[in-house]
Parts: sequence; structure tokens; C-alpha cells
Amino acid sequence: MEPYFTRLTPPGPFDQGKYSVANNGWIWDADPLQNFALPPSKAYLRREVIVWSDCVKLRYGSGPTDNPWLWEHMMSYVRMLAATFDGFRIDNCHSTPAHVGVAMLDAARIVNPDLYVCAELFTGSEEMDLLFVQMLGINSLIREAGNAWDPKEFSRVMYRFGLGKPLGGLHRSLWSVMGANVPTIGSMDSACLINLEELDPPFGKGPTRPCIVSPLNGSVPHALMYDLTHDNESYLDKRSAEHALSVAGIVTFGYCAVASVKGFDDLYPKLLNLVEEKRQYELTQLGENSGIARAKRLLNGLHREMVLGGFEEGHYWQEGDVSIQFGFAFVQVLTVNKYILVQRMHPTTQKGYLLIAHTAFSKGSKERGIGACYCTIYMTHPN
Amino acid sequence: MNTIELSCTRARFVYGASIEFSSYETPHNSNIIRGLPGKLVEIPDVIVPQISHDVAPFCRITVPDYFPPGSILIFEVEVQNLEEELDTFCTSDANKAFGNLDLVDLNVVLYRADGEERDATSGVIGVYDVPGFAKLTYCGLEGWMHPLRHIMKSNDLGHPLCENFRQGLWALDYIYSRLQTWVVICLFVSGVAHI
Repeated sequence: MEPYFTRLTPPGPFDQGKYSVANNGWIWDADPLQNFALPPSKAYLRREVIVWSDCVKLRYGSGPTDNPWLWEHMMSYVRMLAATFDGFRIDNCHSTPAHVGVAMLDAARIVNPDLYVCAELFTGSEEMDLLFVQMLGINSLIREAGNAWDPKEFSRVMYRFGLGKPLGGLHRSLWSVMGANVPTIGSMDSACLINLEELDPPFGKGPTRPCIVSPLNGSVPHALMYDLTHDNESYLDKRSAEHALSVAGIVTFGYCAVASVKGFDDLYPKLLNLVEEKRQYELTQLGENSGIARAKRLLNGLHREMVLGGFEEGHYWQEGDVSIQFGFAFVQVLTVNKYILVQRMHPTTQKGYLLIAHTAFSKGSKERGIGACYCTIYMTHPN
Repeated sequence: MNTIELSCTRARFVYGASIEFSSYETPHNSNIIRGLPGKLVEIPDVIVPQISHDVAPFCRITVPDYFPPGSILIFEVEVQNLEEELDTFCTSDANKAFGNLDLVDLNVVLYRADGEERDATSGVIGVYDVPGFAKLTYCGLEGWMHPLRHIMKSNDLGHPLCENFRQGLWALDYIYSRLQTWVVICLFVSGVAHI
């Protein structure tokens, strides 16, 4: 069992109680706005914390005056990171007290105003996700393709976070209306949704002004879709080794940011222990032992072309594969959806790409699948 | 799955691959992290024929015989015979079309409830009935706009009206034919034409 406390051992005699620090962890269904290491929480006493024995909880209090050394120490660490890297991934964002996250990111953005911030955020509700995104100014939320257990669920996840707009959609980008030629209306559909209204004077005095009011629909927070994260079990262990290539294709066809780990491209069969692993990766390039790197390189190129080029319309669908079941008195031909198809198009040029991916959620069959039909053939029993 | 047909679309093969493993054992090496011995097998060109059809030409992609689970195929696709000026055409000449209409004409073009329309056309034309949805409130263009505003706002392409648009030209035929009827009625009334 992992210990709840880390015992520090400073040189010389010391008070053991004073040098015992609580380990961090997570709790099912916790309120991310409450610090579970402070009263009135009894999470540690009730052993509700699923603990990570390799990291400890820091006591920030309600502001720098509560713990000046810690705040200054962590601030300078964050400033150093912001000066070194282009982006941060906030791990376990929901269990960092929000006021600490806000202060740290503010400090980081003074050093690097263009800092890209993505976050792993499990708050339990979309409203709470949004609250964190707004408070911290998170650019993208981390989404994991590895969690999808079948083609339908995988399509749903990609549709939700990586669709862009539906193929042949009617609500075009607002930019086509508000772009170069205001008030000439470029796009009929958006024009149908606008209202001509009078704007009250901004300072309370003077005449009203005519204005065009365009509805903004809002959107879900921008997604950073991982084909596999450093926390996910390998596809060999969880689905099948072959599945990786189809996942790579489906993820890179998403109209969202994409992310990966080197072990995914290299087809590493086990989840690596991040804390204890001491070995280095093999440098594989595109030759022997490079796993799916050659395909991935092409897919990443396509992804870049489609996202930067504005191929914002997408369509996901599934097609069947056939399996034959033999029963006592019948042969049943069942269609199992194993193919995921993605079409991604540019809304004005109507050019794009089509991906046909044969998924391999489970180990076994090498069959291609014969026809997209569903039929049941009943054979009469001789008696 | 055997074939996929895409209407009014041209498709060109870009890339295809599947993956084969000679072993699923973790390669043991105390110095480096090495992956499974997986080999990418690239799929040769898939030729996509264009097939002509009464309604619209289509292309037919046939999945190759060897396409095991964990394989991908990528095609470059392009919608064919797309009228590039369509958007411009739709938003131009509104003045030319509507400039000379009086209030009665505009009422016909934009509104008219079911009873009104039937009264004017001896019961021949009524409001448009969208299968699986409802009868529109008005026969005129504003009748379409009520569901369309909702569809545009939420991009609800699964709406029964969208399905009706996808399945055929009935909506456009309806709009055209009732305006055509009105033109004929006007001609009789003004005495230009006689029965």
C-alpha cells in the first residue's frame, strides 16, 4: 500500500511530526474548489485519498503572505520554466487550488506572453471545466482517444472534440460576415441570423448608433487530443497492437490539436514507469524499428495542412464488418461496425481528404470483412 | 465493408498502410527503450473509378482484399461540378427580383397562411408539409425561415427539413411552382391573358 505521508529526514536531531508531509492524490467525485488537505475535509482520516506516494501537497494558504518562502520559491521556478519552454501541460489541474494556478500562470505569462497552456482537467462537470478554463486562461483541454472502447464511442469522442463543423453545415464562420466587407454580407446563412439594432451610447450620453448584432454560439473548450498519453496503458495491453495505426489516422483527422508520446509511434508494448525508468529511447528515425513513424509523419503533415488550411468541415461515420455465427439450427451473419470513416473538407473549395480506418479494438481476426450487409440465414433442422 | 460510394465526388489515392508484427513480446534491453517489431506494410495504389449516373456521377472506392484490422487508407477528395459562383449568385440581384413588387406581391412571396393560399388558388396550393416535422406556418419564404433559423443557429443537419432537402428537389419545386401560379393569376386578373 502506498503511504499517506512522506517522512523527511533532515541532518541532525529533528521533530518527526514536523517533518512528515502529506502526499497528494485524488478523490472520487471531489469538489475541485475545496482543498481536501484542509479542514473541514476528513479525506485523509477516512482514507478517501487515492494517494501518489511520489508527490507531496504544498501548503500555499490563501496567498503569498501565508507562506512567503514557498510562494516565492514556486514563482521563480514557474518563471524559469516559462522562459525555457513554449508551453505547459498542467497535470491534474483540478487539484491545484485555483488561486494558486491563477497566480502562477499570471507570473508565467509576464515572462512569456505567448505561453501555450493545456490542462488535464477532471472536474466532473462541463460547467466546472469552463470555470477553470476561464479562471486560468487554459488554451486547450487534454482529451484521450485511448479511453474509447469501441468504434461508436471513438467516433463520438472525435465528433465532440474534433469535428470542426458538420459537413455541408449551414452556419458558416462569423468571419465570413464580419471580415473584409462589413456591412456587405458575404455569407447568406450568417446574414439570416443577424439583427439590425441601435447601440446605446457607450458613455450614457449622445445619440444611439446603428449596429449589426450577430449571435455567437460559443463552443466547447479547444481540445488537445492524445492518441496515447504517458498515463495510458499501451494499446497492446488494452486493445491490440494493430489498433495503434488506425488510432493515429483517426486522431490526426480531427480539427483540434493533436498530441502523442514517443512510445506510441515506436509501438512500445508496456506503460513506462515515468518516475523509475532510467533507460533512453532508441533513436529510430524512419528506418527499421521505427514502428508507425513513417505513416505518422504523413498523417501529421496532413493534419497540419487541414487545420492551418481551414478544412473545418468534418463527417464521421462507421461501416460494418461481417462475422458469421454458427448456432444449433442457423447460421447468423452479423454486421459489426469496425470501420471508422472520416471526411474532412474545406467549406469553400470543397476539397479535402477521406480516411478509411479499419480499427482493431480487440486482438485476433485478420479478416477484412466481406460485405456491408446484415442478413440472417435460417436453416431448417432435419427433424 | 466492400465499397464506398461518394456522390458528385472525385477521389484520388494518397496513402494506405497496415501493420504486421513478428512478435508481441517486449524486447528486453537494459539500456534502451525499444518498441515491438512492427512492420508497416504499405498498400499499393487503389484506383477509384468515376461512374456516371442519372442523378449524379459518383466514385466507387473498393477496399483492397488485404486490409486487416489496424489498417488505414487515405484519399484526396473533391466535390465535382461545384458551381463556384453559387454563393455570389444567391446573394446578388435582390433588388432586380423584388424591387418592383407591391405589398400584395410581397405578401405572396414572403407570407400567406394556408387558408389564404387555398382561397387564392381554388384550394390547389397549401402550406408545405415537411415529413417528420410539421406543416410550415406560411407558404412564402418566411415559412421556411422559421425552421431554417433554428437549423443555422445550431447547425442541426439532422433536422427533418434538411433530410427533405437532401432527398430531393420538392422544396425548390414548391417555391417555384406557387410563384409561377401567382404570375399566371396576375396575368388573368390584369387582362393580359384570357382563358
